[in-house]
Amino acid sequence: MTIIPPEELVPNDERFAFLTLARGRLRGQKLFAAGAIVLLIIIVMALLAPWITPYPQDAQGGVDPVNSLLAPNGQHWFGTDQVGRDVYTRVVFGARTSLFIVFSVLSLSVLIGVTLGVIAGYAGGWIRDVVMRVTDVFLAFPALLLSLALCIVLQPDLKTAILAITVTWWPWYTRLAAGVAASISGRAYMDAVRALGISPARAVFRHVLPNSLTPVIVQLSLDAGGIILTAAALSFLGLGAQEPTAEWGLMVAQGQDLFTTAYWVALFPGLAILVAAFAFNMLGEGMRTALDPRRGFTS
Amino acid sequence: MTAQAAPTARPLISVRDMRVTYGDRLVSHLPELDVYEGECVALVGESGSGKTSALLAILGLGDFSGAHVAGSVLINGVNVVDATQAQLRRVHGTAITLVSQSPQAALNPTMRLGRLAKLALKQHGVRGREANARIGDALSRVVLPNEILKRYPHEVSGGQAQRFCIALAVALQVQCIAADEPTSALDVTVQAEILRLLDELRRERNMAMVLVSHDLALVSTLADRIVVMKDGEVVEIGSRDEVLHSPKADYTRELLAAVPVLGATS
Repeated sequence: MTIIPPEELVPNDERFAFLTLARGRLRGQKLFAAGAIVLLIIIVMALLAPWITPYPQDAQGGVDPVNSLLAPNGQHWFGTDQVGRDVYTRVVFGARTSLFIVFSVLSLSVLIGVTLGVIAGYAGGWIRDVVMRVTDVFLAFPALLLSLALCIVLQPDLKTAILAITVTWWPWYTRLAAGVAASISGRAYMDAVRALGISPARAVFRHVLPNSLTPVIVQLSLDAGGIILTAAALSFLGLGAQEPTAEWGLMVAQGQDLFTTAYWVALFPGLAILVAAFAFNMLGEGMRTALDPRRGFTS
Repeated sequence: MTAQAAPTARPLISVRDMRVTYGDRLVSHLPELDVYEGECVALVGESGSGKTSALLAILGLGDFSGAHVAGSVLINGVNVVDATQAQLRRVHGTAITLVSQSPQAALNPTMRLGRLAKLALKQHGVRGREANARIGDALSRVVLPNEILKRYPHEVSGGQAQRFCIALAVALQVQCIAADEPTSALDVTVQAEILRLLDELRRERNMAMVLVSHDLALVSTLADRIVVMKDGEVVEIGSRDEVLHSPKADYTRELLAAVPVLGATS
């Protein structure tokens, strides 16, 4: 009898097969690398914000009216806003807020949406009908209107904004995942999986889910920019992050009226939104190419 | 093992008046078919004759392809036509499993082969040393290196993938393989290897086989009994020799006449 050593049967990294596959395939992906580097810089800057900004107190509500609306200069690289706060400091601290919103909304949306979606898509029948009708109810409301309504009803703050955006975002992931899972459910390897006697739970989470992730990841990357903009819109309307929180959308809103006279107040947070959204998109596009199951490691 | 099982033996698979329909359209009808241990029954016919639909229905997988299955298919006493998911799982991977037409498409593209094998065995309560031993034995039986377990499906050839699918059936110690055109996606030399392997396994392990094929040459080497299907209905059923050498139905004669002959010009 031939006994195969356990490590030969299933290498340790197999437990993270999806990540291993991604890591192998991401080598040489320039688009992914560019997006990842930019995002990494943004994340590192956000984490080190108190140490790499000249006026960290400006992120917490400190005001300096004497120095209001100073154009970019040696002391204030991005200038100052209406109450004399350093725009560079607030842009760097704003990355913390925006990234927190993006990761919170996407995590909650994927957790709820993709889980329900793959179950609905694989199971079909009444389970799919119930799940999809519930998503229809949520999608029947215009997304921004529903978010606004929730923010008005609840206490307007950052947590409410995250909740409000998540409520309008998760049904899209359910729809996407359900469609992909239904398609995967009809593939030859799922017939083989069933014929091996694999339980529905294992079939869904070991076989359907990993094969459903590519479109979800692409959608995540596309949505990240949209979430930053939606959070900014809520903040703009006074229903998201509140003063003195440093948040890019709020900063753009505050600088909007001053654009002809003090462009820097809105420009730099606006550029930050643009760069972050673009980096997320590049990351997603790179991931999409890399995770296509039909690609070999080296191609 | 002989083609004809002893009349007193209990069939492994017992099909009675099985009808597969899509909406109002009947795509496959098997009035009666028993498959015994060690026996190979082939369903033959042209494309669209309903043989694959019949095979999936026998496996209890008809509903997943959107078909409605009526009648009765008893496998180890479980009627897979109206079985619950839990009942089906007791049949799949123990009494019967599937070997598909496109072996690489039949393997999860994001899972290494070793992981798949381990999961399949774990599902049936075989873990640890026992699982490793069974997989090792099965791989050596189908002449595949252990190293293949580290690979993803796209990293192996069609022949290797098909051998691996067969190895899964061996490791699970199933009583019957449902093979859907198991060699049609492979080149001729690999076809011969797979055929030889299936035939040896059947004889060694007394494994039954329900084989779907349009290739009468393949059927003639493996099948004990042949069911000829046309437009979803059985037109002839009999032993291999009866069907191939003394066909009763005109359609069977047409099928036999259509078999290509090496060197023939018309």
